[in-house]
This record gives sequence, structure tokens and C-alpha cells, in this order.
Amino acid sequence: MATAFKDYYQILGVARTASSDEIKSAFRQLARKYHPDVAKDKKEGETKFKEINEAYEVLGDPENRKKYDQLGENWNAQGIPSYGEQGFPHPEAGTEDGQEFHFEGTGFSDFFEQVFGRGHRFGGFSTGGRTRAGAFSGPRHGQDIEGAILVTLEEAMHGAIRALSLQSVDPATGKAKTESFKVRIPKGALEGQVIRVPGKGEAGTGGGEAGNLFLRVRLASHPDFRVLGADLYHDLPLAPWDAVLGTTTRLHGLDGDLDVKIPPGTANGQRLRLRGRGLPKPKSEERGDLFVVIEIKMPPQVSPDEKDLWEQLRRTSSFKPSE
Amino acid sequence: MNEDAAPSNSSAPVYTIETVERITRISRDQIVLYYNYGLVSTIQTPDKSDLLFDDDAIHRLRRIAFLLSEYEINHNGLKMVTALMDEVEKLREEVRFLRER
Repeated sequence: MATAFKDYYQILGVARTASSDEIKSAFRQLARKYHPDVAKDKKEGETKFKEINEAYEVLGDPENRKKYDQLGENWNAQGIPSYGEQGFPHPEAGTEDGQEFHFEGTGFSDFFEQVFGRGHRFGGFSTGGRTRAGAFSGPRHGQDIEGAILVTLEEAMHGAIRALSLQSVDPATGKAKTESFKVRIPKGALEGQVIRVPGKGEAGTGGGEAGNLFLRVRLASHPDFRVLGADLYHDLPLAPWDAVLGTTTRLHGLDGDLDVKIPPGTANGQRLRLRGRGLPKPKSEERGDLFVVIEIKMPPQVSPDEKDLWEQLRRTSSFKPSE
Repeated sequence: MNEDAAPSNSSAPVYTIETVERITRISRDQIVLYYNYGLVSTIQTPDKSDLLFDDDAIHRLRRIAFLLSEYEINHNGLKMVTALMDEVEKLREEVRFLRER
């Protein structure tokens, strides 16, 4: 199946020479604009958000970016290692028997799956009736397929139902068929977690059952939160005077707004823990924590009046950090 | 839909050992053996009759079956391979977390 090239630089609106900070900043800006929760057109927002996430997944990772830059637009002609060359079969390319697969609705494009997807998979299990010589006898169960599914933090927080479609071409008949089905994303789905979809792997032969589809969760990058396990981290920029005097700031959490009290004398890099405000923990009623990480920012420029106040502070303060 | 599971409080499916046996085509004794070896974990760990598994466990058991049939790895090798795969996943997550700062 022909796969179109994706220009990730164009998607993020950055030059090919952009620094990693510029890429991060472009991602955050676009992700805020197109986040499904805030976009005016939800449908368009969701599509764009996934596209931006995919672009950031590639350009935000130095190794993926290097690989992508080497490919160029003629990537198809340059010979992406074919199925099986890296030790494990590649499900999107096909199975051992040459049956081609193609998924829609996982949140990743075919281009991404073909070039960057295989690092996260090792599907293609042979089971049932296979002899040492590689021949099959009697009913043979279909092979399992493993793919990735992009899950937003909101979906992980509340759980969701996603519509997927599987297109496959039978090499024997050349006929293509599309099968649509729904996948339940469990509440508390975490990075790397596997979701099994029974019977959506390769078809069995000789009366054997179809294989499973195993979808490995990849949590979508969020413009405001980083994730580690079930814990969320939010970097909060703070003016020096707010850090010294303390303040209360409103944070748009995944499940509503939160007023975060910043105590007086808060240091740069300090983590404020909001217990139980992270993602739900799988197999539990508990939730992870939300850590607010303080980033004290200096004003880029100061007015003459502000400068006077800083001068006054320098004269008055007894604080000597180097002593 | 991705369900043929036992009822549970969580929205993630939970399977009895009988269901896992049917899904993975791995015998109950082998599943218990892999569990005792620490190759697969359960979501509850009281006694043998109450073993309950999730999708991760099923995936892991299928991966074990694949490694055994395709690479003829012994149990010690299996333990090492699965531990390394877990570590790679964990490190990937940490690298991603640190890179997003």
C-alpha cells in the first residue's frame, strides 16, 4: 500500500535548521491551539493535535530526527529495511504469509508506523501446528499483531472508546477488505500498557482462530503536563517576587481548575506535590500525584522604575547567596 | 470490542487463568510456572486458584511463547530477555519525560 511522505517540519511550522528548543516551543504553541479540549472545531482539533504530536515524536527525539532527516522525500526509494530484517516481523508491512495490514484510528500515520513504529513492537507470533521445518499442519491460529495507539492524557484520565479500522489485502486473491471495530481505552491507561483486541490479528487457517491485536499505549505529549508513571508534572514559571512573597495561581488541570498556593520563599526547581491529582493508577482506585515544578523567570527587560526598586532591594537585603 | 474478561472494578479487563489458558494456548501449569519464575505477574496474588491476569500478562505470555518457539530460549534466557525488554520500555519512558522538560 502506497504511503505518503509526512513533512514534519512543515506540520510544526519550523525550519529544518530549528533548534530543539524551537521545536519544543512550536509544538507547545500548536498543541495549545489544537488541543481537543480547547479547539473550536473539535474534529479538526483532534486530527491536528495527533498530527502535531506525531511530528513532535519524531523531531523532538534527536535519534528519530536524524533518521528522518536522512530519509528525505524520496524515502520509499531508499529502501526502508523490509519486514523481519530487524529480528521481528513488522505488522504494518505484513505477516509471514504476506498478508498486508493497515490501521486507521491509532493516531499514527502509515508513514510514522513504517519508519518509526517498529522500535516499539515485536509482534508476529507463530503458534499452533507449526513444525520445525516451518511447514504448517492442521488448523493454524492466526498470528498476533502489535501496533501502537496514541492516547491523550484526557483519554487516560477518563477512559474512552476509539473507532479503529483495519484494512487488509489477501495476497492470494488480491482483494482488499476493511473491518471497523471499537477499542476501549481503559481509565488509567499508562505509557507502554498493552490493550488486547481479540480476534483482530491475522486470520487463522484450516479452522484456526484469528490472532490478537495488541496495541501498546503511547501517551500523547501534552503542552502543559509531562508524565512519569501515573504522576503528572507541570512546570510553573514564576516571577522572582512571587517566589519570595508567595502567591496563589490557577492551574488548568486535566479534571478541572486548581488553585495552587505557592508558599513564600519558594526556590527555583522546587516541587510542590498535589497528592492524588495525577492520572488514575491502573487496577486501583487511587490516582498518582501532580507535581508543580517551580521555574523562576527573570524579566527580559526592566523599566527605570523597576531598576530603582531592585537597586533599593540590593542596598536593603542582607542575603548573600555566595556566603 | 476488546473484551472477554471477568468482571472487575477497573475498566481494564481482568482474566481468570482458565480464560488466559484459552487465549494464549499455554497450559495452566506452564502459566503458573512462568508466574513462579517471575516472568509474568498477576493483579492479585493470594493462592493459585485466584490468579487473575490483565492484557499486559496475556501479551507477555504470548511473547514468551514466541521467544520459546522462534529462538528456543531456555527459562534463564527468557527471564533475562523479558527483564531487558521491560528495562528498555522503562528507560524509554524516562528519556521521554526528561526530554520534554
